[in-house]
Amino acid sequence: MPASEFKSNGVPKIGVYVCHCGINISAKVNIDEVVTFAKTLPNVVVAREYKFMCSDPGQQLIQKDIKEHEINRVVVASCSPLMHEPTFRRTTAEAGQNPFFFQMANIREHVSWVTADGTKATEKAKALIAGAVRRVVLHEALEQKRVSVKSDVMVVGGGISGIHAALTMANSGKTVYLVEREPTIGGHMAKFDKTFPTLDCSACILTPKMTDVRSHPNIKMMTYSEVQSVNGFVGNFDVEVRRKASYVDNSLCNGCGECTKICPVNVRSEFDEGMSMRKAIYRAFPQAVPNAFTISRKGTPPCQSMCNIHQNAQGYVTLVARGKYPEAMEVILRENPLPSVCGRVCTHPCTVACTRAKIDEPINVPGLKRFVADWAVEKRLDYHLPRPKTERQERVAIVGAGPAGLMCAYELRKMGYQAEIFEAQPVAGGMLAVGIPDFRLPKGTLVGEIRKLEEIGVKINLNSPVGQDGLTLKRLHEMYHAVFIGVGAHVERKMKIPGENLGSVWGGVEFLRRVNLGERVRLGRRVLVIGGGNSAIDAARTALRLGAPEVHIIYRRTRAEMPADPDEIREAEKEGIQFDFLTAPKAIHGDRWVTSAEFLKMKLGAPDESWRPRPVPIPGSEFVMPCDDMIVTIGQESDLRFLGNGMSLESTKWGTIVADPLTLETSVKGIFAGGDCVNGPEIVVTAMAAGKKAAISIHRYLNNLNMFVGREQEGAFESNIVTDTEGYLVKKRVPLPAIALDRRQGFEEVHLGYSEEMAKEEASRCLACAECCDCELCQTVCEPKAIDYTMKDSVEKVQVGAIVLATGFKAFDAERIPRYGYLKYPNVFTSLEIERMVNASGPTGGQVSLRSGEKPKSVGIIHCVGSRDETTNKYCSRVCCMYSLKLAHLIKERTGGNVYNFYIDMRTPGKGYEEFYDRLLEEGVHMIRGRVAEVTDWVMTPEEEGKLVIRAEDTLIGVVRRIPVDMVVLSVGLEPRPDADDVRRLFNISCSQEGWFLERHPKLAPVSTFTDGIFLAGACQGPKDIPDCVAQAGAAAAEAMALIDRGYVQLEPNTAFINEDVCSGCKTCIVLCPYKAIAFNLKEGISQVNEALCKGCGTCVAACPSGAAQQHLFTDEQIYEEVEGVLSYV
Amino acid sequence: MSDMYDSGTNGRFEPRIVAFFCNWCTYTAADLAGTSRMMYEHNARVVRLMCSGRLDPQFVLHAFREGADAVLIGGCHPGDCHYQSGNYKALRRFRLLQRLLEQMGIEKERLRLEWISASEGDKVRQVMNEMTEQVRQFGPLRLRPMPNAPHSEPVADLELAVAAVEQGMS
Amino acid sequence: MSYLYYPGCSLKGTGKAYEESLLAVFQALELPVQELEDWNCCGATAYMAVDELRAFALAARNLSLAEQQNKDSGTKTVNLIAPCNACYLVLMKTQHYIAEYDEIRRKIDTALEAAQLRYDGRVVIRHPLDVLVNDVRLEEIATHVRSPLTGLRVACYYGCQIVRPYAAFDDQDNPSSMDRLLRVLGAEVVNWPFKTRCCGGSLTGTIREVGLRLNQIILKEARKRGADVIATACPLCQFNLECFQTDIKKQFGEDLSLPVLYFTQLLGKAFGLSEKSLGLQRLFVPLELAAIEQKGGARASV
Repeated sequence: MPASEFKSNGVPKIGVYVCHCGINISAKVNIDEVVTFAKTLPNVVVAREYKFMCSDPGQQLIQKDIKEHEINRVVVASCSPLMHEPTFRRTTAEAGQNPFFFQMANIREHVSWVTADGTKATEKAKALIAGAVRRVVLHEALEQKRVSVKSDVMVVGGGISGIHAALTMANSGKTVYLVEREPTIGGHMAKFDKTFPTLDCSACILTPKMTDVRSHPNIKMMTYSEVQSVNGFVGNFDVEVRRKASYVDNSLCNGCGECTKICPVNVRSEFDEGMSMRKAIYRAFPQAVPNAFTISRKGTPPCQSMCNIHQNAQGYVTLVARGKYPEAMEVILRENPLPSVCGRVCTHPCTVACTRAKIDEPINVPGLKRFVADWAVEKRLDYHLPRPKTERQERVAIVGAGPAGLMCAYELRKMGYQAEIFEAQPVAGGMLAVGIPDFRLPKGTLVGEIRKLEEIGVKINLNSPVGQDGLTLKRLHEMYHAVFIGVGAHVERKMKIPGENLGSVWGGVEFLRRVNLGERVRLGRRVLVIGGGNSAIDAARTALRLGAPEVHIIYRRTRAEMPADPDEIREAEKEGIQFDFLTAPKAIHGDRWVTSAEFLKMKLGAPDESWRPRPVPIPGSEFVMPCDDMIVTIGQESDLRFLGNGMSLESTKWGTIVADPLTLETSVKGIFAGGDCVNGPEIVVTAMAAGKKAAISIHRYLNNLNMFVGREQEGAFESNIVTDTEGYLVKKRVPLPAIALDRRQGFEEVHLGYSEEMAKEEASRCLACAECCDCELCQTVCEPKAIDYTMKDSVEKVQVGAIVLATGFKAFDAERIPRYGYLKYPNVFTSLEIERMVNASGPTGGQVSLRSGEKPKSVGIIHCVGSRDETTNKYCSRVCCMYSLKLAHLIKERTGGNVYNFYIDMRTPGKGYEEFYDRLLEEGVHMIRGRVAEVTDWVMTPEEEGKLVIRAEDTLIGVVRRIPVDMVVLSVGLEPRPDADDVRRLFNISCSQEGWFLERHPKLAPVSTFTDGIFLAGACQGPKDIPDCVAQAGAAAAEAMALIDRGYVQLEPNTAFINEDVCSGCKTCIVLCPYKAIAFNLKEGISQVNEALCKGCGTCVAACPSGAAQQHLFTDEQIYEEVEGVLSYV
Repeated sequence: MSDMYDSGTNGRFEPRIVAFFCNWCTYTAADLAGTSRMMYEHNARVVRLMCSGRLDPQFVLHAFREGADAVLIGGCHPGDCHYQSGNYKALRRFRLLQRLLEQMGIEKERLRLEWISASEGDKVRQVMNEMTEQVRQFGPLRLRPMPNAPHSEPVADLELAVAAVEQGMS
Repeated sequence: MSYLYYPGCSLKGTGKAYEESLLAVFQALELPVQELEDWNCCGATAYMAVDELRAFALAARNLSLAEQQNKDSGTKTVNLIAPCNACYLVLMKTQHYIAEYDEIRRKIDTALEAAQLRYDGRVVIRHPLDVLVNDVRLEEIATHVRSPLTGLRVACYYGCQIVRPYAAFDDQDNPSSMDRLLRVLGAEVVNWPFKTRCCGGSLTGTIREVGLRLNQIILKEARKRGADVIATACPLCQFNLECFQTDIKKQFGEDLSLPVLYFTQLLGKAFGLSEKSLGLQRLFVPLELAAIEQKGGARASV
């Protein structure tokens, strides 16, 4: 369509300028042919060629033609528009043209440099020029928008690059936000001892800069923080920074370090590359900036999360390891008033989840809990359960003094409520008291712990069965503000076979109750116990202790299916109890007393609902076994008769009470129930959990709070902590001592507790999964009261004009090359580990030593580990040669031993680097040219004995050599950070193939990115040594300030616009715009573009059905013309 | 001189390919291929768009009508779009167009979409070569009378299709 | 799961004991194996070196036969067991190249067509170690152990070919399947760096002194690490390590005699199978367990 229809500058007169670019273009493209061709194109009035169009004479050529030949459209065929479009736009503008009557044809990057054949190249160049010429005809005069720029800047990453960039900009008066992920700035450089080639001490030159950062008025440090989102565009970035909770208030912390002294948790020190331990509350190193402490808390450890009442197991285990028993006791009592009970009879779900099991065996958590509890008793430690801070008047009745009831009472008291327990038995403790025999749980301990509960005001009425003589549930419901029912399950189920009611046929529960309550129970010669649960074992072992010479446990499945605790089964066996498996009773014979029983043999069939194989009777396999007593322990149920009249409390057909699983509230408001009487027979800790849950519900009920919200994490749940179990030595569980078999006649407790030494040793196996163990000791010693466990992550929003990325690198993981033996042979180290070793403040205080502690007599340093290697990284990491030489020097200096360097090439490009290399040669460091094949402990000669042998080809003398050494150092290369890809997405920049951040131009824009306003500094852009990092940081700072000090940015005028006459108001464009730049004008019934918001992607334009939406510089017509142009071959 | 059956390259068919590249990823990658001196087939002519989301389906059909034997679309990898989601829009339109082309009896491989990031210069080379080779196998797309090529029908359908598209396919 | 079995030339010749013990063990485990009918030479490393394409075609024939023979089994994938490491590698390599390079696939297809054959790539090549550890699983194997190899110190020698370059079922640098397997049998596995070190292959026949040297190194290290026996998974390794011990003694003047068994023979021994069924009588250097048990006892008391 004719140009006159466009807002234009008259009839198009085009000048075409073809650039030789030295010989870069002309070597392939026949320039003259192209120029002649250009002249033939419509509207072209002049066509010229020149050696360098971008040079001043080149540009003047254009300006001259604009003046003399009244050229009003310009096409330059040269390099990529990304390179010189701005240059030539300026050229035309200076000649008084609107700069947008200009188009570039990229005949270098897209033609001469990529096309082998000259004629083809020339042809392609013509086509592109034709396209540009056709297109430029339709260009229009455009205005560039100016947007003001925010004056603050952000630097991401607090290594040497970030520090230098931040200081540079701060010194020129900019406000700088320095964001660092770790608790301290300093980065890798802070870990080094000396720096090559000058050998000046890293700390001495870095720490002053770090303190400058701290004290600089213009720098706002955001340590232990991460950028979470970046919005906006050049000059106006809105950045959200997540400040991770350090649980220490930096403004209060005075850095005295008392907290670390008392902290009982030891974890591997990241700063020392895992070669030393740090505390859970720590400061990476003494000169850290900010000089504050951080608590590393990873969440709820598996042991605690899997415990139904969330006992802080890691807490007290850790404290035991440090011999802090009273503190341990205090930690236990926070959640559990019955430590010695749980320490003995809990089936410890905590140990099932223990991470240590991945290495050898789980920690014996209950054993340690018991140790603490017993220790407290022995040492007459007069401990007290926590008393309520404020008393409350509401009274709660609790039916049953079992674990559920006691726990409920405890939790209620902690909150200040008045808890009163009604117990039918003459003793408190429920099954703990009457169900479990003394040899497993001595009554003394139980009584003691119940007394402590009474001590804090829990009222216990014994011999007070609810449902009798006036004390009905109904009355309790009226008299008290709330009621909790935890009556347990104390009735033995019947087998429903003939003869069950004969004398000396016992229900297990009843049998154990009588014994426990001290009745004299006589048994005959042969006692048969029916069942396979813990109570069967208890009953059998009790019978044995009552003097029965022959006790059988008769179970209808096999040992594998027995529900009883395997340890208990083993003990029972040791004690001489006989097991008859796959056997079930059919009838019991006798007149008044049982004399014999008839049994059926069973075989295992298909699994039943309990997922255990169902026992199937074998027809005709009946047999009779004479016996004097039979104890039936096939499971218990609750006696719910007491619910009685007037109360409409629902119960199930299995004889359990119906209660809401989330709140434990029954069908009657204000009455709650939990434990065995709701779930059927379970273990101690689940009953206690129910009591705790009920207490929480009752609290909410009494205060009219929502009873349902936020209760998901009550009871056991999966911990999300992952713990690295690499490199720990196998150290099996310390066995719990037991008394000799010949001492087991009486009811003496079978398992003795740990001795102090045993306990400490066992506890020291803990891996501290959560790091901080919440013992809260540090708070007790922190004078400025800086520690705050309730601290939460927070998000800070800042607005900046430019961002400098200095996120650094990650050292190559040497384990990825197994043939070099890292983590296989103890004396193979990485260069970073040696950096820490030679550092005076490092784990060995500057001594270079083997794991055994002795000095190495010979050390081999292997270069290019993870560099220049097809299988890992192809690139050269640039710093390894030099730091290897530095380490060689330091090792030689510290050990006086022989040092061998195995290198591919020596790369010493830098001021004083080659000289340093010479110096080392003079010092007598051996240099062997050749990539190492392997590090092995295969020795061939006596002198190789006990050493590591490095096998490598010496390519200078052309032989394969075996060098025996004491220590091997792997000079690991540099790699992009593992999360580099997420980071680049965050900042909308690109990565190179290897994952380094991509600069805008490798030569001319090395610190800029393709996203305006984002700059790069240091090793995040590629491997660099310290001098280069600092230089680049300075450059990045300068670029950022150049942008900011201009005060504004000019936006490319390639925004979208809508032809109001054509717009049909279909709104298609509005939903497509990612920047909400298009609004609907109701009055006109059309869409309108807000140019300030439009970023010029053109998505709306492509989608507009009516063609009303168009994009400046990229109108449909312009593109059609260009397409036709490039296709119209000569 | 250069006619579709080029004597210079011993009668080998030299297809004409139009490549619509987004400014931020693929066009930059093509520049990188240049600075790295990667030699590849000369047949594609690159038309620069700010974003593959700008690609109006009509551009593609227009290119075919104007004698392109194939069209290549290059955009940023999913998730990497400089304008958040333009490349997804391009993908949608690409799928639609391929179906359309098949309907008209045009090999759908004559239209190709590639995600090429700024650092993937070598991918540009490889895609250019692959596509040129493939289209060579197909032979010319005869939609309009060409020197020494008989006139053929599909052009009529294409005109219709273009019309249909102009009715508003996005 | 049922398996096809490709013996290759060795297991019918020098490696007879390997075949005998392998089949005996599989029988004990009630593992159905069926020998591939009309199989041909795999071409081994030699042919690969001479003419790769022909070598591929030769190997591909076996793969296509395997598919045919499996036709009426109904299962889509065909498990083809290749016990000899060389066969295993050649078949793997062929498989790999066919999948990877259309060019080669096309040529091989035409070659097969000439013999009215076709190959659809449904064969999975398996090494007995792989089958035992990953299909049968150690738990199951443990249940078959009748006379555990308690006290027996084994140096597991995998050879160079089963994990390189294709680490299909075990770690390339430090394979462990044989170690785990033999531990289940009660044996003690010595820790040594030579699991996949070269045995010299055919060098013992071509450049003899080099071949002997390489085997001397391995035998010496095995003895040094206190091994009572070397367990191999490859007929050529077994042959090299066992049959040249006297020559090695002559050459290097030190006695390095050490029994070298197929891991399948040790497996069979632990299962309590007869000497004969395991081809143990074919050993040049017999394995005296009794003696070792005493030694073991002695060792324990030390």
